Amino acid sequence: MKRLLQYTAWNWSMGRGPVTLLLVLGAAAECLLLFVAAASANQSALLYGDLVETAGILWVIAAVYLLLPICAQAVQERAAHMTRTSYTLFTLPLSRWELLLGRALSGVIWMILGMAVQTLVLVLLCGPILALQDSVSAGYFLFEVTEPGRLWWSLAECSVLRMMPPNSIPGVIFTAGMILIPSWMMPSAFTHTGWKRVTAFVIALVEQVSLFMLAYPALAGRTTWEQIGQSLQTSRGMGTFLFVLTGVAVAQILWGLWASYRSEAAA
Amino acid sequence: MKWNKLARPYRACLGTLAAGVALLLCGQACLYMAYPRQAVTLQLKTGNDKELEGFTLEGSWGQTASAAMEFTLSDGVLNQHPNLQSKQEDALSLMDQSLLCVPDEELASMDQQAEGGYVSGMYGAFFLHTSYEGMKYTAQARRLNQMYTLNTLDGSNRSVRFGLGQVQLPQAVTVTAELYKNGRARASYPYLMNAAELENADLGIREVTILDAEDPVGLYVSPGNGENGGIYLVREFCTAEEVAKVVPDVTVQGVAVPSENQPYGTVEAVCPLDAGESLIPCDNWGDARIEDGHWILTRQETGKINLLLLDKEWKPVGKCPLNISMNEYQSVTVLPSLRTDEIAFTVVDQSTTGQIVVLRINQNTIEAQSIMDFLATSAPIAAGYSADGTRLMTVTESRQSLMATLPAEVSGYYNGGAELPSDLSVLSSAVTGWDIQVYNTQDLQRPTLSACLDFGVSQRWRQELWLSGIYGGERRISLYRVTAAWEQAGEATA
Repeated sequence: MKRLLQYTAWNWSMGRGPVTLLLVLGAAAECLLLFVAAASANQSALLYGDLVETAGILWVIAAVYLLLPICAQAVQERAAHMTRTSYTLFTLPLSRWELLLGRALSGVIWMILGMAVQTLVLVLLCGPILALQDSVSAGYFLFEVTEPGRLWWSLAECSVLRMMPPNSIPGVIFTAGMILIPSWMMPSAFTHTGWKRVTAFVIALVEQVSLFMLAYPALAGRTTWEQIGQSLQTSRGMGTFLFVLTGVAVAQILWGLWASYRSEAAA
Repeated sequence: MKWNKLARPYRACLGTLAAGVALLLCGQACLYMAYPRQAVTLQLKTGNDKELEGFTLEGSWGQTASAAMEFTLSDGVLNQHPNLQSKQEDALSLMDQSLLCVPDEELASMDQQAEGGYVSGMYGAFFLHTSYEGMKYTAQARRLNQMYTLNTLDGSNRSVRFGLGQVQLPQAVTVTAELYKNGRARASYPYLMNAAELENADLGIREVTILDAEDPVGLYVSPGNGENGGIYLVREFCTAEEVAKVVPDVTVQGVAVPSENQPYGTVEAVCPLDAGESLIPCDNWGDARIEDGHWILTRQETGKINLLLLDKEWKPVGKCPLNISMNEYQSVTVLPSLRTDEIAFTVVDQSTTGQIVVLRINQNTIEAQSIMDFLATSAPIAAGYSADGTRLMTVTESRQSLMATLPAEVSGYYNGGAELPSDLSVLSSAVTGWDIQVYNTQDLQRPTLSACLDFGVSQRWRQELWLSGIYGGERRISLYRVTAAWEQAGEATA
C-alpha cells in the first residue's frame, strides 16, 4: 500500500509542470473572460452566477477538464521512453494493475486540485467583478442595491461554485464519477500503442465529453443534481445512456489493463 | 533511481491534496456560516411588539432552487438561517388531453362517408429531421365518447385514460382520422376531435382539473351530461407496454389502429359531489391544505357556498356552509395558512376591492371566522389567527418604485439587433418587504400593531427592470414566499 501511494505521489509530481501550466492558463482565461463580460453594459445587470455562464467560463472548464488527465500523464509517458525512468518503472515492486491504479489516483488528486483552483478563482473574482458591474451600471439604475450580504448571495447563487464540492448525495455520486472515469481511462489509453492508443484516446475523450454534457445543465444552474438523478431513475433513455457510459468506461479500463499485462508499452 | 527518492514527492503530494480539500471544505463552510445575520430585519411602526406573541410566520427568500434564506418570526422574535439544499419536487409533470371519439361500433359508418386526403410533413432539424406521410380522413358525427387521458412527462411514458360519458350533439361536428405508414414518426388514430373545440357548456362536455399533481394525482371532474361532479384519484398509471396489451385495435379504412375508446389504468371516485354542486375554481390549489388533508370550496345551484373538508385521500370528512356570497366573476386565491388548523383565501372581483376570509377549523367544523375587506392593489399574501384566537395577523407585500434607463444598444443586444430608437426609461414596482398588521378579532378596522419585515432592494431587480424594458410589460417575480404551515409540518415529519 505504501509503495503504491509513493508511486502515486511520484506520478503526481511528474505532472506538476504541465498541469500547473494548464490550470494557470485556465484561471487567466477565466479572469479575462469575466472582466471583459463585466465591463460590458450588456451584462452589467446580470447576477454573478449568470455572468459566469454568459462569459463562457463553462467552456474553459470543459477544456481544462478534457486536457487535465492528459497533462497529468504526459510527462511520465514521455519520460517512460528514457532509460532512467524506464528502469525505475520496470524494477518497481508493483504489479501492472497497481501501476495503473497509481496513475489513476494521481489523476484523481489533480482533478480535486483543479476543483480547488476553480473555487478559488470564482471566490476571489466575485468582489472585483461586482464592483466593476456597479461602476458600469451606475448611470443606468436610479436605485442602490441594499440587500444585506450581497457577496454571500452572489456566491450562494453561483451554480458552478455550488458544485465544487456538491452538497447532496446525487451530486457527490455524479462528481465522483466525473473525476474517477477520466482519471482511469486516460492512463488506460496510454498503455496502448499505435492505432489502439488513438482509438482508446478517442473513446476516453468521447466519454469525458458525454459526462460534461450530462453535467452542463447543473453547472449552468438550469437543473440540480437531484433532478438529474430523478430523471435517470424514471427515464429509460437516460438510464440506458448512463449504463452505456459506465459500460464503455469499464471496458476501456479493462482493455488497458489487459494491454499493460501484455507489455504493449513500458508503463 | 533509488527507491527512497520516490518518497520525496510524497509529502508534497499529500500536503497539496490536503490544502485543496481544505479549500473546498472551507468554501462550503463559509456559505453555511458566513451568511448575513441581518438579511431580514423587523421594524416596528406602531403598537406594542407583545401583539406578535402567539403568531408564527415563516418565509423563504431565494431565487434559485439551491440557495435560499429561511426566516421565522415567532412570538415577535426573528430568526434566519440559510437553506442550501435543493428542494425535491414531488409533483409529477403531467400533460392531459380531453378527446371526443367516435364509438368503435360506428367507425364503419364513418369510413363510408369519410373524405380522404394526402398529408405529409417533417419535423426536427438538420440531419435529425423526421418525415411522415399518410392519409387524413374527415367525417361528420353527432354521437361521441368523451375520453380523458393523462400522461406523465418524466420519461417513464405512463398514462391513464378514463371515459366521461357519451354526448349526443344537436349538430354534427367534423371528426378526423389520420393513418400513417409507420407509427414511429407519427401515431395513427381513428375518428376523433379535441373537446376544447366545443366550448359550449350546454353540450354536456365535462371539464377535468388537476387538483394535486403529487402521487396519487387528484382530479376534479365537472358535472355534465347528467352526471354529478366529483373528485377522483389516479391509483395506477399504465406503461406503454401495458397499454398495448389492454387497448384493442380497430379498423379505419382497412388499417388497424389502436382504439381511443378503451380506458386503462385505475381511477377511483373518492369524493362525489351533490347534484348541481360544482367546484369553485381557485388559484394556488397546492396550499389548500388543512391538518394533513385538503379542502375545497363548492357552489350549489342555489348559490350557496360550502367548504368541504377532505382527508389526505381526498375523501370527505366534513361539510361546512359559508356565509359569504361569491359570483362566478370573482377570482379566488388560496393563501398559505400560518397554522395547520386554519384556512385563508381571498375573493377578488373586477373592482378595486376584495375580501379575505380566514377560518379556524376544529374537529371538522368552523370554530372561528373572520372576513376583511382590502384594496385589490394590496391583497394579503397570508393571514391567520394567534394561538388563542383573539387576534388576526395579515401579511401584505410592501413595494418600492424602481427606475432605470435601458440603453438602446443593450436592448438591441438582447433583441437580436433590433435596437430601440432611443434609451428607454423603465419603471417597476419591486417587493422590498412584508407589511404585517395585527388586529383584534372584535375590531378588524383598526390594527393594533403595524410592522414591516425589510428585505432591502435585491440586485436581481436590475435584471428584471431591463428585461421588462426589453420584452415589454412589468415582470412579476417571486423572490419571497410565505412557507405554509403544512409545508413546515411536512419538513418536520421528514
